[in-house]
Amino acid sequence: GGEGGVRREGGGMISVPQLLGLSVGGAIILGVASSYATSALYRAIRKRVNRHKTIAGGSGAGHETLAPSPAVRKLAAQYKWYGPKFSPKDVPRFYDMASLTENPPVFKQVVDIYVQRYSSGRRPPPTHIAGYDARGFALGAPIAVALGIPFVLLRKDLKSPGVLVESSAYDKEYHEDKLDKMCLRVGSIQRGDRVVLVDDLIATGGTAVAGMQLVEELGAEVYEFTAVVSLPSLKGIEKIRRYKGGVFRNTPIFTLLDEETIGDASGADPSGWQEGGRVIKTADAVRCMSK
Amino acid sequence: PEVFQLCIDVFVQRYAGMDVDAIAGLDARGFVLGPPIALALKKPFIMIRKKGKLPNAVTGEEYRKEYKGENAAGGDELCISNTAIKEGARVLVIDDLVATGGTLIAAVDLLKAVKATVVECACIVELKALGGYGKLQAKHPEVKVWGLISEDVLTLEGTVA
Repeated sequence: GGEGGVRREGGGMISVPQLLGLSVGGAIILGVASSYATSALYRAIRKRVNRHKTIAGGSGAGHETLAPSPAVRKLAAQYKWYGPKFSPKDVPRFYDMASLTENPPVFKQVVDIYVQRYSSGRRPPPTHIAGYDARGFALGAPIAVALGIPFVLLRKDLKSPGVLVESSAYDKEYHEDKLDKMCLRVGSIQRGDRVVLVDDLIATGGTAVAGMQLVEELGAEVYEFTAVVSLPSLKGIEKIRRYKGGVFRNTPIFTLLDEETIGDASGADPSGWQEGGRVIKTADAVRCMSK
Repeated sequence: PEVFQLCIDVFVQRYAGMDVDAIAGLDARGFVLGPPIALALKKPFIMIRKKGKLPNAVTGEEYRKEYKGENAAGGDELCISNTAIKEGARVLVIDDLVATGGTLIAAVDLLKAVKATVVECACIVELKALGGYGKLQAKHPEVKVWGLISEDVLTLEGTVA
């Protein structure tokens, strides 16, 4: 009777064109989705790989520095220093901050390190950047601009206008007779501000501490002291930690490079220097540079 | 920060199209203004400092400023790094303020002596009454000063947009 014929399994049958259409459509959607996911993943990985890791620094509580990595070694290799014969000060190595400012990709790299650090979300962000006269100005201003926060000038003398508040005199590495004072314009830093103090280098810590003390006494928080180069042999960070019975013993300190990570290869003293001294007149300079 | 960013943006917009090779900032307020502009233009920032502050430096002639510092004679000398400028480099000079023009002329003298081409001198405030621009033009007719604000603007009644 009617039992003949083929029973179809599983509901409706899909035709070949429909199957093709679905496959292609599915593939496109999957393809787009996966390439989007891949590129997002790629960007996240690249960001992580490029992000410098920080590790505990040598001075104990709160001191961070950059973890050694090929990128950090490359950064250190580009930071030049000069010996006493070619330096303004009588120190074994004069580290030249122009290594950053005259080298745009490296300068940007360093500024980005700070921007990442201060927008990480792990702490409430700083409200102000205070730069030490004058090399701290060049480093601190771009960081402040990138973060959209005020940049404040910590000056060594009375050059700022308005009413100034000054720190007590401090002793520097360089054995100068006159002790400088650190000044801020009254009102530029106030109670409740979270201030990062920026300089290119920390040596004996005298300058560092003078600025930190001033910010502290104005009722603001020293969010962090940072220097690109630290000279551990001069124990500047220890001086900060010991200061006034330990008022800064837990204050975050962040340094990027130091005497060891910046090796001898970064010495930039010109070899075979014929001229009388290291400061030459412009007419001679043109002749030298063309050699 | 907003006003600072606005100033930087104005300078960057102007100099992005002027084929600048480097930005030279005058110690120390030029160090605040110059680096953000230099970073935005992806060009080197070069410090022009008073004598005795830079390693490996070239020094210029003595000059006079608007105000006397500790130096009773009022004379000073500017320095630039020995290696910063290549011959023919197009350099933008930046400082916060131009007054009598003494410092600015000394900086332009120094840059021209190391064979740079000075594109322009940029500043935030120009005190026109002190005649700095005229003095600069007298010595370096091809170099202009480009300032954002002068007494002409400062004495106008401001409105908030």
